Amino acid sequence: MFGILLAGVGDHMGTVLRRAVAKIETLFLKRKVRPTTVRVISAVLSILIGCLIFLAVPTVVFQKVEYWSFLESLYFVVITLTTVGFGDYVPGGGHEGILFKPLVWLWIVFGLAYFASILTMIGNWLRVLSKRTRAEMEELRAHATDWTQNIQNMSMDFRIPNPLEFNDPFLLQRRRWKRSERRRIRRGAQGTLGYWVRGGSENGHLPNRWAGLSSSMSQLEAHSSLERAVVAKSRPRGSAPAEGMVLKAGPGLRVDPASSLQVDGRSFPHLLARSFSLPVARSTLELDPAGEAMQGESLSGSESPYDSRSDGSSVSLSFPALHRFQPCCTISAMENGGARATDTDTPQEKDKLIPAEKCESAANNNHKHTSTPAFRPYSSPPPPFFPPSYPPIMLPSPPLNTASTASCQLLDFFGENLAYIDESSDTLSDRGQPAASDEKRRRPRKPKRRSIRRQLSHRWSPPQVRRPNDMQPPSNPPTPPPDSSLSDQPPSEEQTDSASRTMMTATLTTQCQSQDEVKH
Amino acid sequence: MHSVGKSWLLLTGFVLFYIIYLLFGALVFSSIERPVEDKLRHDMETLKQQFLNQSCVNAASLELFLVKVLSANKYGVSVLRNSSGASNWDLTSSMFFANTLVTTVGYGHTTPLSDTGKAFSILYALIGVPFTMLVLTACVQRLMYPLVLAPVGLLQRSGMEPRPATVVHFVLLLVLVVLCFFIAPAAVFSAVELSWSFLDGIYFCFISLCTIGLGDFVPGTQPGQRNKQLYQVSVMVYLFVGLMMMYLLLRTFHKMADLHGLTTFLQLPRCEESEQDDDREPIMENKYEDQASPYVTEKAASKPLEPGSQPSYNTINKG
Repeated sequence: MFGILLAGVGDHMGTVLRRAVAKIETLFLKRKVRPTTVRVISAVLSILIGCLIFLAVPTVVFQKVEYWSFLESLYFVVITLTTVGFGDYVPGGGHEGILFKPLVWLWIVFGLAYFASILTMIGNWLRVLSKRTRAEMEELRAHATDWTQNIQNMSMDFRIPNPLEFNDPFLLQRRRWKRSERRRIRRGAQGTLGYWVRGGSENGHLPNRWAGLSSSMSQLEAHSSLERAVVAKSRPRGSAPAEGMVLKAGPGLRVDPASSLQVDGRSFPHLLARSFSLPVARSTLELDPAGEAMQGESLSGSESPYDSRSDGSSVSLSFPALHRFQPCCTISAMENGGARATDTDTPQEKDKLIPAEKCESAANNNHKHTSTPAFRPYSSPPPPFFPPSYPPIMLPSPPLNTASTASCQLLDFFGENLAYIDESSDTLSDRGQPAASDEKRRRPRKPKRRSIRRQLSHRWSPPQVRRPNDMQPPSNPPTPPPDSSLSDQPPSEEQTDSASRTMMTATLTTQCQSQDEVKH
Repeated sequence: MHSVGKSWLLLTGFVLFYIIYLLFGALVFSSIERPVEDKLRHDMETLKQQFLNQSCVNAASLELFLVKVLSANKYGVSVLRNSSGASNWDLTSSMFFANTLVTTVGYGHTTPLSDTGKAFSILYALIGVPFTMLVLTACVQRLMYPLVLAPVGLLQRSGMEPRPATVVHFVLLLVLVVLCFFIAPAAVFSAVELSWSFLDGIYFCFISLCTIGLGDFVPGTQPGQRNKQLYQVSVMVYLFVGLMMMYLLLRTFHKMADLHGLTTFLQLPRCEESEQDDDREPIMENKYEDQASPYVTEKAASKPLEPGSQPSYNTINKG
């Protein structure tokens, strides 16, 4: 009973505290301090403030009220809050105000909650010190990662679930399942969403729609609404290119017939079975053959494994009619990823830009004859159709890129507490980053690709967060998505990305070109 | 935002209920203990008057003497003739003290006298308490399979549904724990400690294993105890193993509650699940109070330890 109350109080207090910490961290991040430093500072600060409130102040108060010495009152405070309670010092000698006892009472309730977390932290240190449980820490971190992503996906509120949640294998099992299910839906929803942003932005009820999507927590609702959205939208969609859309929506739409034509021309029947709600990477792959078709090159070596893989995990939403709209949705999903990526670039990402650049140049070579002049100018500004307020909300798994490598050691030492802090501060760093990353602005697309891949690798292999560089794909991802070796994925993702980018940014002329190619 | 408001409401409800619960406890204790205390006070008054009438000591000096004796007694130093030999701080006694400190039982029968001792106690508790939780949970994790998972599996294989199987197993485990860690030790204590009744023994076991540690009954403190060191070491072992079993019980109960209650709440958003969890547990407890034994309440009593130990559960017991 008391423990339950304590847990509840701790939970809520943690929420409030985290919010406060998040606000403070925003201030810091605006001054371009490194996120890791901020995190450490905030962790230390929260500990210090907690100590001040629950240790120092009561100590001084008891010293004054009970005429104990400093050490005696500190001793009393610690013995009380660790629930040892020897009883050799008891407050309430009789010469204090009427308000004193309720205050002591309150202090004990809140102090116990705080001390529980402090003891937890110390316990985590001890656990880290013992090497035997290293693997368990790894798993914990993986869960923290997974769960942080989940939380951020779900909503903007900072509430954390009770740590109890991780307790139970039963629960965990269920939750894992739920999580993967949700993720799938979410991706699907995002596809729809991006699609809405692009194709359906003329009709004014986009925000409502979006809110409905994001707030529909239960899976069934999400499913049904998604379905509805897709079905409802497919009709105007088909006639969209004919109508001649706004310039904004144009590129995305025009690619649509082209790519579907390409795909059909090359007759990939398995593509029809693809589900709408596939993860981003996999749905981008569908652009792969299209891009190839445009060039007449054969990259099919890399595409066969994906096809088998993605077919395996396709979900119920695979209408053949849907398929032709898929590329567009995929592109919008890519856009999401891109918008996301501009926010998440970090110092760590800089060094990875170089290989990315290479890949991109290679990709450019591939696509040189199609649309180099067209997409160069287009790719330099960030996508204009994304309202600035979107990124922090839409990100399915924004951060943890930053947190993963640099602060792993920290996570070791601060345990879950810091993992929570990580979560909040990462959300913040996402908001804060765009301002701080001017040099990224020059070529805003590269980090996008990177982050898409990184997010995916994160999602698929949370335990691998520890790797110094996550260039290497995970060997044994624990979550449902494919566990084959992903070693061939990164380069082809780059290509698909550039392909999709080409398509997306293609103007009418390039599109005509490509259509001509098909005809030839 | 709605869920946040709802959970705050729930928490407020919990706090209110908790305060009411405390008030209820205060009323009951006050009504039960007040008369006994008054009687004892009256007896002491008459005893003191009798003593003063018999002897030539004046009241003030007796008062002074008694204050000194009592304050010394608080630290475990007795002026009685036959207890002058034993120290409270020999090796086993000190170890017993350290044990009560880190397991957060904290009888308070011996407390550090010097400032250095107090400072060291703070440091020692800060490191020792989490470490004890760590060791305990690691042991519980080891015990989980032979004592929980295997029997439940056996019950299920013999044709029971999962839910009744867990209930039956939990009741069996509860009876086993009560027998082995309450009844049997109480009998031993009432035999070894001359002044303890059997009920006192059960009371001591309960207060100790729930880590409440009131310290009114502490084993090995009576004067002239034979094999005192061996006795204290065995009490320490008993405390540790008993705590372990209590954690195991708690853990099993959590599992069972998950299996029973939480499944219906699964469709709700995650944020509320913790609160639902809380909501559920009192119901479960009431339910079991009927069929099992009064000791179900000990789960509630031993909860204060739980937050500290939870993280260890999280990581260790996950698999």
